[in-house]
Amino acid sequence: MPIGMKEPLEEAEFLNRARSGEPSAIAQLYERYGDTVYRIGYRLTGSPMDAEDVLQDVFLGLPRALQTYAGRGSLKGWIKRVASRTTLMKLRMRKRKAEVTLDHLPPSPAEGRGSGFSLTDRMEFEHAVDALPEALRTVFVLRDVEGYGHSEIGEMLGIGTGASRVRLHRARRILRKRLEKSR
Amino acid sequence: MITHPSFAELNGYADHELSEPRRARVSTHLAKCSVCRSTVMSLRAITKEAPGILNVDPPVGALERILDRHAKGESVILPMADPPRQVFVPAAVWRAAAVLALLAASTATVFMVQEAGAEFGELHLTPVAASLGGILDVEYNSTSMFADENRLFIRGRYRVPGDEFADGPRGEVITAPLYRYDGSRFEGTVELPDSVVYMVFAIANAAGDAIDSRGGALWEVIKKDENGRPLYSGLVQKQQEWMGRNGALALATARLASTLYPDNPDAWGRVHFIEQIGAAEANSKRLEAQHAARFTQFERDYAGKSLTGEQLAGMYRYSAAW
Repeated sequence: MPIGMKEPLEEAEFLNRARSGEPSAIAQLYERYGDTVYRIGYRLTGSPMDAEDVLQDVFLGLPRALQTYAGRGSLKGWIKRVASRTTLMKLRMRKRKAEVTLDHLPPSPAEGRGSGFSLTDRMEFEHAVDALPEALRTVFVLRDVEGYGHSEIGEMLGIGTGASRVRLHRARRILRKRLEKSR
Repeated sequence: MITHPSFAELNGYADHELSEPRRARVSTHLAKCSVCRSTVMSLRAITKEAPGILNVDPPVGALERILDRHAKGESVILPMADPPRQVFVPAAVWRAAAVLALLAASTATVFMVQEAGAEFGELHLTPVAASLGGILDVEYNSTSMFADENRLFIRGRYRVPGDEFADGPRGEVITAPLYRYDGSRFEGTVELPDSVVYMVFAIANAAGDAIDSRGGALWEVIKKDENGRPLYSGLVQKQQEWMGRNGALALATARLASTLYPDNPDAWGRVHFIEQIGAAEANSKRLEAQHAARFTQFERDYAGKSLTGEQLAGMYRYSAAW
């Protein structure tokens, strides 16, 4: 049966196994949501190492955290929110380096995910996003990449919706100008 | 003169977040303006492509590392709540606000705060009219004063209709960051409450120990109507801002208001009041005679008519000036 289409009873049983920390259930969660969690970590931190730290923390913490999941909303949306919070907490605890070292250059995009943007344009876009000031990058990633609304972003960052909106405008303005300059 | 929507408004249009009247207004403009159309198209391209960026896979072996640590009994407590709302004002902001207060108190103090012989930068605010949602795009071309800074702050004091003149600084203080874009240019955005009709700005560094106040004159924005005419309430607040600090500017502002709004007795009452404070005796007799004739004309024009609250208040102000 395709993932996401299990009977409610099976889903509840699966969650119970995950809550009790069964390795097979953790592995199943990772199969379903590992990519999503890693990408949130990478998009917000710009660092493969930090992104893996987030990945590890989230899946080591999920058995305990799932005790609070009451089934309201999708499990994927809930896990995304947990991953976002975990990454944002990591960002708050460290100062993001201004320089982009070779270690932190974004790896090549995975195959098969092109959209009409050429590979060169996509790399320029990703470099431009990576070069944004952290406060602007965070809002841009949460809004335009991950699809959160401004009120949710405000809650996650502890800012008002107006501030979220203003930061998004700034980020888009900078991106647009940098991408135009590179053409 | 063509008024373009602000970048923030074009963002709202691209995101389908504008109210219907504003959406229609922007739409009408876009039909005639290729520059703004290009901006909207590029914004939509960014938002369309954004979800597909940075689509990287986890490193090989990550699951094994997780299960290995789990088997050793490792666990992590994840953050399950959002942080509290930030109400943080860095100390530098308060220092800079104190400098703005010094600017309000005494013109002489301005020169103490300024670098000796300081030049000042150029500040551009878009839209200047601040009539399109309260979000201003800020561009600041700095002087050598800020050569070592990558981030500055635009600090402003704003006024809303009804704010009265007082001996001290009035209005709320706002602050917003400006980031270095290239060369000497900094960019940022400042969001104003919709009720703001007048505002003065200065530019400062994060520490608050270097301030560009345009030689003490500050930069200003005054709200305008659709025809580009400053709102009466904006002119009144400008006059209130400079009363006690620059009488000549306050009088010039009041006279401008009476020129732009000649049928408003409140405008003439304000001019009359300031002239009485500053005019030399000989000049004052001529001005008094002119005001007396004008007040009499207002009385004739209003005789037998039902007046609005504003007209009544204006006539009271004009009559109280004697």
